[in-house]
Amino acid sequence: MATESANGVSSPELNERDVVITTNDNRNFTVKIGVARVSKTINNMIQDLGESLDLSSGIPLPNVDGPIFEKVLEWCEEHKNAPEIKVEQDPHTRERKWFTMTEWEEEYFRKFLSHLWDLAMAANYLEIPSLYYYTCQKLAERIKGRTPEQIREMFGIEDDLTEEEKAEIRRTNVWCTY
Amino acid sequence: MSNEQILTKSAIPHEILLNIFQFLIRDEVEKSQLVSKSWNEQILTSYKILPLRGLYILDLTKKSNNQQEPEWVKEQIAKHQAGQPTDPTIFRCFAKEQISMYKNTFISLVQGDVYDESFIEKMKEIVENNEEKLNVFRVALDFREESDVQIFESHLKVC
Repeated sequence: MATESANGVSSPELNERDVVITTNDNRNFTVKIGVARVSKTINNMIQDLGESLDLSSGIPLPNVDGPIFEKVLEWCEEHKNAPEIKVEQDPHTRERKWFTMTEWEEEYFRKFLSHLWDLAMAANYLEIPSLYYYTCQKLAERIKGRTPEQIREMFGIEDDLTEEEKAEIRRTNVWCTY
Repeated sequence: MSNEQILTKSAIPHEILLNIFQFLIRDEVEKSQLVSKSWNEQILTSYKILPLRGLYILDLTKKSNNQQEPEWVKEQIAKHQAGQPTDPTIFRCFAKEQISMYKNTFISLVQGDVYDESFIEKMKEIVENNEEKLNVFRVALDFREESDVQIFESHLKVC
């Protein structure tokens, strides 16, 4: 049975096999290995376990809950054959180049708009670069053009800066028009 | 613009917040400092890796008649003529009060979309009064550093 080792990274046969993943609220997800592997964290776990991997007993994910993992899986299913994303920035200003998203991706973020923070944190922990960077871009898009007050309201952040502190920030940032 | 709330029960890790700011232009990052104490501190501790303000500054070498405009200038002009959005950071290196310093200089008129009318009027005036043509190129500076201010000033000698 050595040929079925989970170390056979590119084995198409292995990608078709199921693995059980358990989230921190004790929900079990049966997932094709090829889909689960979009997460580098899960892929590493599968590889580390190698031949000792018992596909039915489950891989625990102590930092992700079921409702969010469900959403992450939707992304993984769509991106199981996607190439690695390329993160680029302007060499002078260090501004990151914005990604162009597919219609499916745009729709995904429209659907899960209110969960962007949780998605970003899950994608960070699970090491899914496409989901992580795209979610951060979506959050940047929400910040762009909004006033500090609107941002606080949107994200439920307390206005804990004193008027003096705000004045000092405006004074040091001469270009700031807020 | 939808105002749907985006909440989370967990504390947002520093790394994620930084990743978000890296997508934004400098003005947006500085605006974000006003959101909360935590955002302000996180931006201040990492401003070295956050985006800088893109500036278009003047190189006061004379431009000969047959010298071509740099590619990025042509690109911006073409975009402007086609009614497409151009780089919003162009021109923003000049604080309004400083503009009058740059007499007799020429700046390729490349238009952005984040400035007000009076600013543009002043720019046009400078362009119209111009007698010498100059190369324009792009650098990025962060005015928090004294050395950057010096570099900036050394490039901007008034004719």
